[in-house]
Amino acid sequence: MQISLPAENLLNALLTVYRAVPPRTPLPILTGILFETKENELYITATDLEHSICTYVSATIEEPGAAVLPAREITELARRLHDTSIVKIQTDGQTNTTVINYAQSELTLHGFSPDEYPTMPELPKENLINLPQQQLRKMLKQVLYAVSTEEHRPVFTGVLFEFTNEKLNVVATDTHRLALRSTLLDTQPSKLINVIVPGKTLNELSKLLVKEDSEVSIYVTENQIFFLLNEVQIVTRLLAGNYPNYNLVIPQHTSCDVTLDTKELLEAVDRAFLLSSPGRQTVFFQLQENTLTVFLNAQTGRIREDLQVNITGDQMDIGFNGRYLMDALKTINSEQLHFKFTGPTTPALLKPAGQDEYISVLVPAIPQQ
Amino acid sequence: METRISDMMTDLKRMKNHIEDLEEENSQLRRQLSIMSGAGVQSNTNSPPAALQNLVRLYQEGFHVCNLHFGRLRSGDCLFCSAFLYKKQE
Repeated sequence: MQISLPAENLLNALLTVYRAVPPRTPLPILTGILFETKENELYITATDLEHSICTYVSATIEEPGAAVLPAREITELARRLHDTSIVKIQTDGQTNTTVINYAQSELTLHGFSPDEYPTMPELPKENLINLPQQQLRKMLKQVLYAVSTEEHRPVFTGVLFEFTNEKLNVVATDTHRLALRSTLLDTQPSKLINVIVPGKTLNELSKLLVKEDSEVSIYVTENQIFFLLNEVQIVTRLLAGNYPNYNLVIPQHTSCDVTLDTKELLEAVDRAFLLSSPGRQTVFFQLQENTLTVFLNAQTGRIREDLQVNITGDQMDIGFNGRYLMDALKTINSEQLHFKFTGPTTPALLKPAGQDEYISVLVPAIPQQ
Repeated sequence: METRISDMMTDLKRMKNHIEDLEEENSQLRRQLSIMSGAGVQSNTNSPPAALQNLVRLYQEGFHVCNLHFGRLRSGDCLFCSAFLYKKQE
């Protein structure tokens, strides 16, 4: 393989796929990035076998071929080159040795055989649906905070994508909180399915959904999902298992509804949370007449803040994990919010005022006996 | 050498005591769980509110009562348990 391309293009492509390089792996080949030439383009791929990212850049192909170069070294080299310089990459297919020329200099890397690199799954012929990139990014941002990081319950480490005729629901829960974001679909999906997509991949995807006026195409097979956005393709395995019936935890009737300023509440909880300690992260609320009192008594001190709010229904005292509450409040995206309570020990619901497409459900903190 | 062996013996003794404490605590928790579960089954036939109270007590003592992880020790409050108890109270 013999190619040349601007250093800036090489770096952008490498930074895109580098997210899929595993930090630790028993398979040395996965520490490499696959370079392949196809017509006038250079395709660059990385995978950790669970998810893969592939992108392409224009390059001058002098001799077609493929190479697997050590990910860290080639990426760090590209970072250290001047944007305008032209990089020439020349690989000896027999020895898997690559010589990289830039300006008047030369660097040699010992790579791996491209034949040993895992092959990317083939893109299905029919796509499921197209969504605007910004819309998907906003949806993911509103649910990803609720994804579990505990690997022993794999289903909760993913986000449920629920396609119906009219809308798409994305749901995440770690069993302490739940986030549900819905959106009406302009076009009907090619099939009505529910899939669970690993949260880790969606985190990477959301960082790549940056273009304002572009769409992302979603393709689904039996056990994989593909996201195609401009020149980048991300594919990940779907999580096996049944997602629990999340509708069971969404309160249908509430006994107390509070309407208040999102920023005011977030700032009050944030200040109260300063007094929390690792084992004691509960921030308490007292709902009385038209005042919501946020308070926390701790060994280090105590805090009490009164917020003027609009309360309808029962008065009550209730506590929430301050971290979980702040995560939810940060995704509300509305000046005013409705905080709906069912009781001091039963789930509460948060939703932006005047919007029905997003809800967050939180379980109150109950002191253990 | 003697001092090191003596230190190691002290450490070993302390670990043995700790293990005994943990085993005692574990069996006590198992007994409590068994009593609660038994009481739940018994009272289920007689008075539903008592069964609910037992489930609430189990939950407050740190066990899951939801269908996802029933009987397992929970870490933190569980939304599914809480919603289940709320539905039962309704």
